[in-house]
Amino acid sequence: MRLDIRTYLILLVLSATCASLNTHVLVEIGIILALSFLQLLSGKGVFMPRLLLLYGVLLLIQYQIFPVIPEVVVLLLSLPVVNIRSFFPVIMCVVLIYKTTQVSQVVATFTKMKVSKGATIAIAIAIRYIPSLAEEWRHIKEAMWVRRATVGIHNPIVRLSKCIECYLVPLLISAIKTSDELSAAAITRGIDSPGMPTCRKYRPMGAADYIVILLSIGVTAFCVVNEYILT
Amino acid sequence: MIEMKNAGFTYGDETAESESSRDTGIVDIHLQIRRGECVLLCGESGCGKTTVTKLINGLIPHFEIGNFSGEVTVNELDTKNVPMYQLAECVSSVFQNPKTQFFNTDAESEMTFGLENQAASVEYIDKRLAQTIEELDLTPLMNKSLFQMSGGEKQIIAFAGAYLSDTDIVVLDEPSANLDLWAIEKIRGVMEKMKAAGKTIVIAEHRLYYLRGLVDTVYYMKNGRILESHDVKDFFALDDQRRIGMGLRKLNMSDLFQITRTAIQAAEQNRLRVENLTLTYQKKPVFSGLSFEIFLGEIVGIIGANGMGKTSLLRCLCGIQKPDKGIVRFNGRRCRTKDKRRLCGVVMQDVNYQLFSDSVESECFLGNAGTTAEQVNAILNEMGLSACKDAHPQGLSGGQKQRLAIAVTVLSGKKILLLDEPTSGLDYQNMLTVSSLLRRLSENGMIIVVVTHDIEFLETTCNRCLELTANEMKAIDSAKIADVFYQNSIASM
Repeated sequence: MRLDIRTYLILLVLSATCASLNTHVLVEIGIILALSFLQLLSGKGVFMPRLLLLYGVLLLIQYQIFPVIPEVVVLLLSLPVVNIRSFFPVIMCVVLIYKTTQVSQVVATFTKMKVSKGATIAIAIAIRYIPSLAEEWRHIKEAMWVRRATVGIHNPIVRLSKCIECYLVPLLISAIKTSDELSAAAITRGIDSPGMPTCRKYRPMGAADYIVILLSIGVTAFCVVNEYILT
Repeated sequence: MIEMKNAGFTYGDETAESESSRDTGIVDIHLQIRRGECVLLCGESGCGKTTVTKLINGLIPHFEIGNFSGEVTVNELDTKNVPMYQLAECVSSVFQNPKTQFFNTDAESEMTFGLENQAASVEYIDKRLAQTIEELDLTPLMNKSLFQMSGGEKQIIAFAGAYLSDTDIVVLDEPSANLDLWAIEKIRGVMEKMKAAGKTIVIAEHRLYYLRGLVDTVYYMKNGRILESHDVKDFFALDDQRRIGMGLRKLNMSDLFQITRTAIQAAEQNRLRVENLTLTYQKKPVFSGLSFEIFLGEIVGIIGANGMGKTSLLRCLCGIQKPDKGIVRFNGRRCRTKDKRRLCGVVMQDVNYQLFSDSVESECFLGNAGTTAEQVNAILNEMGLSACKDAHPQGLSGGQKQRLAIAVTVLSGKKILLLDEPTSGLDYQNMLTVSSLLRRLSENGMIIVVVTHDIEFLETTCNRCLELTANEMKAIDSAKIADVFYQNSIASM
């Protein structure tokens, strides 16, 4: 089952709303399970069991380990553990969008929605660049490993700053080069045409989209009522 | 169809204070290309081939910053006065780097992108898509993400996009630069179909042998000018002396390729020995039970079919990737990961990822604690990089970056140098420079392992050639390298 990009975006906004509220943990678990189910329905490779496992581990740390460890350690760990855990619905939504959305669909839908061409192209390039970024990061990491670039630097701060520099220099140079070559390739294929392009991958919203939107509005409304009216 | 009158272009901002920041691309180009003609532009790096292709697809004067003069008409449209999107309706382009020319993440959308921008009907696009998939035999690629494809597969999709767009003119800028023989065979097939369909094709290229029987006219360029035009028959009949004088790569694949350097034998302690190396990736075997030896002072070329795991083998040798089984010994001693890391230097196919500093000189010191200024000066001199020691490494040419990466490896005292496709995109002179440099290093006792698809480079550089198959490293008889290359390309298809 594939949903429309607009449904995913609404889902993202609503899950961010729920995450920002002091949602009860059982409701949060329900949202996570519902999003996992949606990922499972969205096709092979979309559902990431490790992500769900990580959420389980965070829950376990917060509710089973924090009560029995010294308060100082709890103070140190609670900020990352609780924040990451409560932000998990948004992470799940981003994974869902990233794994199911093609650049061409984004361009087609945004064009139909009359979003400006500049904004559409910028978003499309951002989506297209994420996998390239991961690939480039891996290459740089390997090159640094072989090179032992920070060997001989004993000051940890200098070492860290050198390490960051070593990652960023090739990454930025590559990003500039890629954007230049990508722009050249895109304009030789008529991307700057002022007319309305054909939106071959455009699909109107269907029943599944409306059901998901209604359900998510319902859950968000429940969280808002629970936060501001019942408590 | 395409006409250039007195066309010239100088790269760089006109308002730039320094003249040195401006680069003369081409001067006084007069060219007429007929409808349906297939034209090859050849010459050394920087001779202006790519600039001419940019005049045709409109990147000059619409995209590149610089000073354009003269007149260029394409399909009777004056490129200076016509917007790019209008030129895109009659000119398709395929560029050198397959990684940076696709805008979409799936093959189908990428192929139809041009026609969608032209607002062609969905029915027409679907019809052209089905035709293209069938005629170019692309079904196996259609369900793959572009990010899962090899460089060759991506380039085939770029060609398919040009084919699907059905424009009158196709401009190809070094399309084979990053490709193996399998992909070159495939793109040649697409070019043949384009030519048969009456398209006008303009190719700027270093690798020439695969264009025999395809091009009609050859223009030889030097220093931004067209020096010679050749009838195809005369051009491919040029003798070696004349070809080398022009700085061109081999013209004929079936010329007898033979490794001229002699194999080296060394004592037991002076060798790299690999025993029973086995690697799996995502539960699928990449290779298994590989055993081979490389002697000190030897340059060994590794060839093999596409996807056979040549790059993975280099990664295993230098310790980046942990093999499932197998032992690597150097001088009789078993190497653990940290030993491999200490012993091996790697020059990646894309050397840009390996350069981190803000000057060539500081790059030499990075990670090489204890290196003296004298040592750095000596190695930069040897690599021909002394003149640019204050330059930013990322601002160097491809060949210079490669030499810098090699210099850093030599300074770090590594005994083994691993190179992955070191000559992709290099012209004849630069290829020879890399070749002589590696031979000098090997004569100083370094072990050099080169993964390459460049048969000409193998011939001039290596002592031995090994073919990587799924379960063994086969020694290749030097006289039969061309046959093995050809069989591999067929097997991959």
